[in-house]
Amino acid sequence: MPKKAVSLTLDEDNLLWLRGRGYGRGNLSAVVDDLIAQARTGKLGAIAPARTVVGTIDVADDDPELEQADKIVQEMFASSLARPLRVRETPPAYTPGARSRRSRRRG
Amino acid sequence: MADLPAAVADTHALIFHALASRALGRRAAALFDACERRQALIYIPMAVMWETTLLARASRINLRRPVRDFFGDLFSNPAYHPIDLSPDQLYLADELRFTRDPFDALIVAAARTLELPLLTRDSTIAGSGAVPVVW
Repeated sequence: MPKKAVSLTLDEDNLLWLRGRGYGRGNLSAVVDDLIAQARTGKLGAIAPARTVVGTIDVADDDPELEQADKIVQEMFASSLARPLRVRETPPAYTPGARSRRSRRRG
Repeated sequence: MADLPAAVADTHALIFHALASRALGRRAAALFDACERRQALIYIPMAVMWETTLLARASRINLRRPVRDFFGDLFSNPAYHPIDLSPDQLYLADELRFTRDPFDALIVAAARTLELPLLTRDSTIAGSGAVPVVW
């Protein structure tokens, strides 16, 4: 499909978002093109107002600097990997020896 | 496109930011502050999102809302972006043999894939030289 250069004037927040989405892809045009394609196919939702997460969470009193966090998460994996892997396989409903005459034909 | 400061966040960096904690390193805090002012970009790997979820599930942190809403709030700011996990990241994580931590490998791989520094205090990652570190 042929491309055509246009000049855009965008809301600063939208431009920042576009820059973020386009990181490493080299240009904004590809990102804008993708977005328009998504909008045309109804895949985009409404934009919510920006919010901050600063000061909105709590940490356990006994580990305020998350010194034990890696260990706790690794233990979750260790206990998961330590569980025996149970595999049940239903034998195929196949009876050997009942080959048809047609399958044995050569040439 | 690369005219804005940008980095990838490790899990504890994001959590310290959300806690408004002084445990966040000075340079990392400056980048988060810049994001709050819409003057920088920070990328959040899927591994960081999942690790945050696990820490909440283990009651090491309290997000005070469902995980979906926490990240919904974060990504409502256009300076923060999730990084999808790609097969390339997974292959790279497997090749990074300096750590046995399943999350650190994926997080470093995400930063390597985007060719961005990683916001982390992790000395093992910093010492590996696998990715530039900011803290």
